[in-house]
Amino acid sequence: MRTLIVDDSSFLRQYLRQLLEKMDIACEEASDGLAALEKLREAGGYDLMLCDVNMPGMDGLACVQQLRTAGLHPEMKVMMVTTEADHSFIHQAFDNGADEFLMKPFGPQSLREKLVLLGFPIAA
Amino acid sequence: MDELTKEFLAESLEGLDRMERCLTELESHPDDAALLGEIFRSVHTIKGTTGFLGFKRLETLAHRGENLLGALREGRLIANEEIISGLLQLLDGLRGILQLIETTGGEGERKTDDDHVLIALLNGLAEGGPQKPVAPMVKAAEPVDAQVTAQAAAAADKTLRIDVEVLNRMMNLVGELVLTRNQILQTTLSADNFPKLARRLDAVTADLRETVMQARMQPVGQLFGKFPRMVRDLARTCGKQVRIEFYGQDTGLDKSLLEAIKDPLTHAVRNAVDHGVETPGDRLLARKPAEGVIKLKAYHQSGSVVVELIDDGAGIRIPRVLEKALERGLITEQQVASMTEREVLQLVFLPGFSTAATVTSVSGRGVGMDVVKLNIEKVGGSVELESRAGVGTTLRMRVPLTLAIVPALIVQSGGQSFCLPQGALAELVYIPRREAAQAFERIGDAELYRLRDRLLPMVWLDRLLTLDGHEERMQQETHGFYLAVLESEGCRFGLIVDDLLAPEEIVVKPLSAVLREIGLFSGATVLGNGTLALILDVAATAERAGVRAEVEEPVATASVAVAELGSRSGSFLIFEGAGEGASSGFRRERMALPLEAVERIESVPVGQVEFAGGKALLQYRGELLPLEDMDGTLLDLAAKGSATLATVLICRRPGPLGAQAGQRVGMVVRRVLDVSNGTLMEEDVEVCDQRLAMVKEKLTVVHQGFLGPLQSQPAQRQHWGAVA
Repeated sequence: MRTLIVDDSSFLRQYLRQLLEKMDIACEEASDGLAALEKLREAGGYDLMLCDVNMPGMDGLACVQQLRTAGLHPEMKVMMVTTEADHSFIHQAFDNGADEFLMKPFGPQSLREKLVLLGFPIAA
Repeated sequence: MDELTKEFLAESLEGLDRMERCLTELESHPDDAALLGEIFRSVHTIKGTTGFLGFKRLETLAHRGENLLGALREGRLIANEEIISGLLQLLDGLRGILQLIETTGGEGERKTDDDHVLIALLNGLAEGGPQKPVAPMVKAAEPVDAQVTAQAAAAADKTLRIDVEVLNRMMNLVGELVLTRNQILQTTLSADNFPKLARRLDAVTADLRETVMQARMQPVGQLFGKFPRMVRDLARTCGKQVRIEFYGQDTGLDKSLLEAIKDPLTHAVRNAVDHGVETPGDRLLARKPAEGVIKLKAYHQSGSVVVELIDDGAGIRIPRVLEKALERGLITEQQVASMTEREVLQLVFLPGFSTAATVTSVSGRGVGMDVVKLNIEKVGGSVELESRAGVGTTLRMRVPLTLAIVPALIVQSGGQSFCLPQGALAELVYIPRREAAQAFERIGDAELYRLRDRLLPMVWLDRLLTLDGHEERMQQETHGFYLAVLESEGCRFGLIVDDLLAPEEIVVKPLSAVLREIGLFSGATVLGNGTLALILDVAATAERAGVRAEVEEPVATASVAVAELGSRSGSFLIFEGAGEGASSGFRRERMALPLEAVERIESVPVGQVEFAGGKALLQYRGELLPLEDMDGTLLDLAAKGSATLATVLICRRPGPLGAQAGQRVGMVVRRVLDVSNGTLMEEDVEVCDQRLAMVKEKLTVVHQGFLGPLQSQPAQRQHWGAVA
């Protein structure tokens, strides 16, 4: 399984990567929406994109919208990683084509639950 | 501390730096959505990530800040001065906690922390009510503040962002290097293509060095970032209106140098706000806009980076500087008369100088411009000051581009190689052996070389380092002497070495503790021929050799000397005086007196000299004349019988200075030699407490007591005495 982590905070990318790799999930990173789209255009094969909302340049909402409008990798799941402050944007995110959301701060357990919810087989 | 927490700290502190820059800009553009977005994100990211690490205090504070910023971002509130001040306090609060985490590993939960006051303020602002300023309540990190600043190497400072392109180029060059090495390994010295390979290796290495240095270059703008906020706060405290402008923020400077000039520059900016720019009232009176402008300019100039700090304030008041310098005993009344404006300005850099009329909390606490100068000089830079009354002051700091590789001249002494940093090297002089005896002057223990009418203390490197075989080499050497004229921290001296080798760009390597303890070397390097060479610390060498700093700036001194050449020339009476041990006839020295001070030359039988209270007196034309007998000449003569004639110069002390002025005195000398024209040497070459004159191309000690009032020294120094 391969994931793309999109977040402007290198701390968060590192944190997510540590959690995911412990679950045997491969990770790649992008620091904003534009970089993520570029990666997605170049190469496919991702099963999941974990996407922050508030980012400089292109934010998470616009990123998802462009991704879905362009019809890039329709099979790939998108999970928004948000905070309470972004909560009002959740509905818009779903409208734009996100599949799930994960509220910060989160630990391994809630991440695992959300992954299972999305239908990924995660070893305990 | 684990990697994640470190990453968090570096990222958060970086975000806060960005927020700080944006906040000051927000003042002039309160509805700029991009700025608000950036500020919001800084706090938002902290808020979003801190929860993972469980820093509750930080999270609460960031959360409140986020609320206020959210209202601003959505346009429910407009950023006014009050709100910006509140946000700056939030910034300080957050930064305080982050620094606390950095130093202690935890965010602390002390009762003294006034988070709730700050939170109340932020809540109030978010609700839009007018708030009472809660001025100095952000003390989040106060107890460890000192520690925090001491630990200057904060997480954000230890990391470096490098352009990927530069990194790629580096990698390519390293690849080239490996290829070239492989080729060299397979060839022999005699192979035809060896010269080609060697050239190639040279080119690749040079490129690689260039690229690595480029990677270390950081824009000076990084340093400027915190100044708008600082200037704003300071100006408020001082009741002034000051704006700061930046030019050349992209100018690159080595990371370590950037760190080195940070504190001096900060201090100088504080100074400019506190002392440079006038109050709005004073400015209006002077027909200037109420708001003062401080400009920070950075640019490259011939291998160094120049940072200029320009204010349009009142300028430095020369009389005030002089007054202060006199009060502090940094200069004497006599010196004042001959000082140029430029020289007076240099006084500001002397230790213990501060012109602030009152000690303020901003500056003027004993840490002065001397520290600025010292810190800049420590990294091989220099500082200049220009000031025009009513127009403003410019402080110019010049620092080298990098510290790791310096151009140096390789010299040899006692069979070993040493490096002299080019920055300190003023010129090289070759003195042929047959001219040496004439060119070197000896005053007491000090050896001097006269270089274009200026006296240069000479330091023999091998003697200073007590290398073996100095005497033998002196005998055997058939060629002359190589003199490297070195300048550092106001000292100027000639270093005598056995041989000059090539100039080289040397890579500075740190010294082992054992070598460092010698205190004369600043580093070591490996030379092109594979041998080791120590890098001479010029300032330390000067100190060890006892070379004193010149008071004036070299350039200024030269012009003064030239200007005064006319007035200080005159006729001198030359006689044989004596140095140490003269009574036993070992050393006799030529001495001189200004001819106008000598009234008559008398020959007196020693028997006529009377002694009273240990002092020699002579009945001379009805008055009792005190005799100055500097080295026991009288006793020597008296031993030969009372009829022996003593030569006495009847002199009059110049008036009207001091109690002894105008008084006649008899000077017992061994022999009058000559009367001749000569030139009094400038004062800064005082190797000892004596003045020197050039008479008949020879250096001669001039008796202090009989020079004009400007040159005369305090009475207790009026001894012939031997040279120190």
